[in-house]
Amino acid sequence: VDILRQAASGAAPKTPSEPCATGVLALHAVASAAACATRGDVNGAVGWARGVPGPLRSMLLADEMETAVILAEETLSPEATARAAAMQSARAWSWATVRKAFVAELIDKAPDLGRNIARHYGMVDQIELHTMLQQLRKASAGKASLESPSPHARLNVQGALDFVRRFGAELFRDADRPTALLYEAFACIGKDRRKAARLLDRALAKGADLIEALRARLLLAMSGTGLMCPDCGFTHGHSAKEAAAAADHLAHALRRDPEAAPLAITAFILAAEGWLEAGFGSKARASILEARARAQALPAFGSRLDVLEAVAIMEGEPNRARALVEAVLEREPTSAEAWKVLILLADREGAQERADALVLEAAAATNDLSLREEARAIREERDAARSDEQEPEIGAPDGVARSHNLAALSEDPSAPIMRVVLRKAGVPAAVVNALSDERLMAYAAELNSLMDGAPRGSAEMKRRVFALLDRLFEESWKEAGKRLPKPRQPGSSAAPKRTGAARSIHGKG
Amino acid sequence: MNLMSVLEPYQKARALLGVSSRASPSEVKTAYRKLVVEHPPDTDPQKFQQLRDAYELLTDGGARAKQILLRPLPAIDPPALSEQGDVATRGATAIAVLRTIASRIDLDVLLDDTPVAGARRP
Repeated sequence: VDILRQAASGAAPKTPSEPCATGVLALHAVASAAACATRGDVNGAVGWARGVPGPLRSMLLADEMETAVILAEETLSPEATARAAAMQSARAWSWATVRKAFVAELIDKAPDLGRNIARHYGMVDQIELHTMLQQLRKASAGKASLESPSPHARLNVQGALDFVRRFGAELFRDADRPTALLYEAFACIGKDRRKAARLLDRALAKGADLIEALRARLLLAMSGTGLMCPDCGFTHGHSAKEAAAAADHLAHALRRDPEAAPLAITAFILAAEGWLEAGFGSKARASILEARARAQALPAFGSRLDVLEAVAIMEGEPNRARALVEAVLEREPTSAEAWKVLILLADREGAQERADALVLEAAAATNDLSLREEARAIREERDAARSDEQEPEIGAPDGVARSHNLAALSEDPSAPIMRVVLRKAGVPAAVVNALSDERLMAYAAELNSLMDGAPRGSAEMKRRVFALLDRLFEESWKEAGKRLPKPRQPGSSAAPKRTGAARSIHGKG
Repeated sequence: MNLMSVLEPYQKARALLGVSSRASPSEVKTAYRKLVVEHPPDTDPQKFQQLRDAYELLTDGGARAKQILLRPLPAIDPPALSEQGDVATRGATAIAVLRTIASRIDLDVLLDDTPVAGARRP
């Protein structure tokens, strides 16, 4: 077996001392044939292969060996082509490695025959692979003639990703395999997470670029369910913790090099965002502290870190959180994320009027789409309230419409007041007018009972009222809407809804 | 550990503006202004854009760094395909056959034989 191993590297095996067994001599002949073939000495290889005694030819695959070495000729003779075609039925053909090598070599020397055989055996991948390799070799040879000689065929980044996705990393030399595994992992992100994770483990074990591997881990974690938040880049949900841990790991690797400070800070920020998303406040604050320690010479990161810290401490220290974002807005009045935190703080305190005023102010100060949508909805709501006050047919008491205090409705549940309520919920006047007084009275009674027990003006009361209004909206349509034209679809430009998007730092409801 | 891959944009930007990695934001700004005067946008728009990009990267508040970190492509050079690899090279099939023989060889059969003179040399 040692003789065979030496032969595979092109070294001629030592001549056995005589006398010795025929089998050993035959083995020596086969090994010599392979060594000659490896060195490119086709005639020598064929001569050795033909020297194997008859009874052992089958056992040592001497015929296959002979065919194999003939394939190394620059041009195939008719005899060699026939032998190559006949090798399909040889025993060696049952070995996948032989089959692949055989088809590859045959495609090189006799493309039509090689492709036919490959196609016959369903080896379409092999045809494509070798076509690609031939093209690369040609391109590489052309490049080498123009520039310095290069022993390798270079792929571009996208080409390499396509290649490893299709054929795997095993085709690359040992020295290039860690990078090839990394490329294959990148190619699998978003397509096969388990495979990508396995490939990254292998790439790291073989010494692949650590930063790139950690970056790939972060991308893999963030690709969780295949849907990233366009604002923060994270997949909201169970993978946030995994992504935060990956970002933290990457940040700690990056922080070792002072030149990488902007990247390390950004990785810590990503980690903090992930920890906050996953509900790990203390870990988020630790990441923010690490980022701050490196951001002293990079003031551009200050505002982002202040806003992030405000979010992290919002629960326990709302006043300090407010002071942080107000300071940010002093410096950067157009910071949408600082405005959103300020609005969120007002919202959490139940200061609805102040939150609405902040939304209007923020929309005017920034170009943020969600803030502008929210502001538009608030303005329309206020306009609707004003017009309700002026609608004589509704007959609503002035005080109710003017104060916007829905709680007051519970004290005087009546049909006219329910008309006001339904109009405010967005039900068209025609639909409201089509409802009977009995139905309206029933709605009013339900509204009254729902609000029992909830403090007036509280968030809970509002939530109950709006939940009921949603239902009434649907029911009133069912009862009265059949005779009327179809309502506008929710989200249409003519009827904006208050989504609460501006009250989320991620721009999501 | 190789940080070159992700640091390359920063290194190029610093080289373009002629500032060191320890340069403060004000030093970066001074260098940028000086170069912009030398390469105004109306006479040298390409160079001006390069300077602008470099300046924005070095004074960035995280957006560009985030793009670099979350770029879904590897930032290192692709692996090279060896022309001398196992596939479609001279003698590859012979070696594959040889490996097959090595994996299935029965040494007992080979050794249990009558001694004869040396094998025929081509």
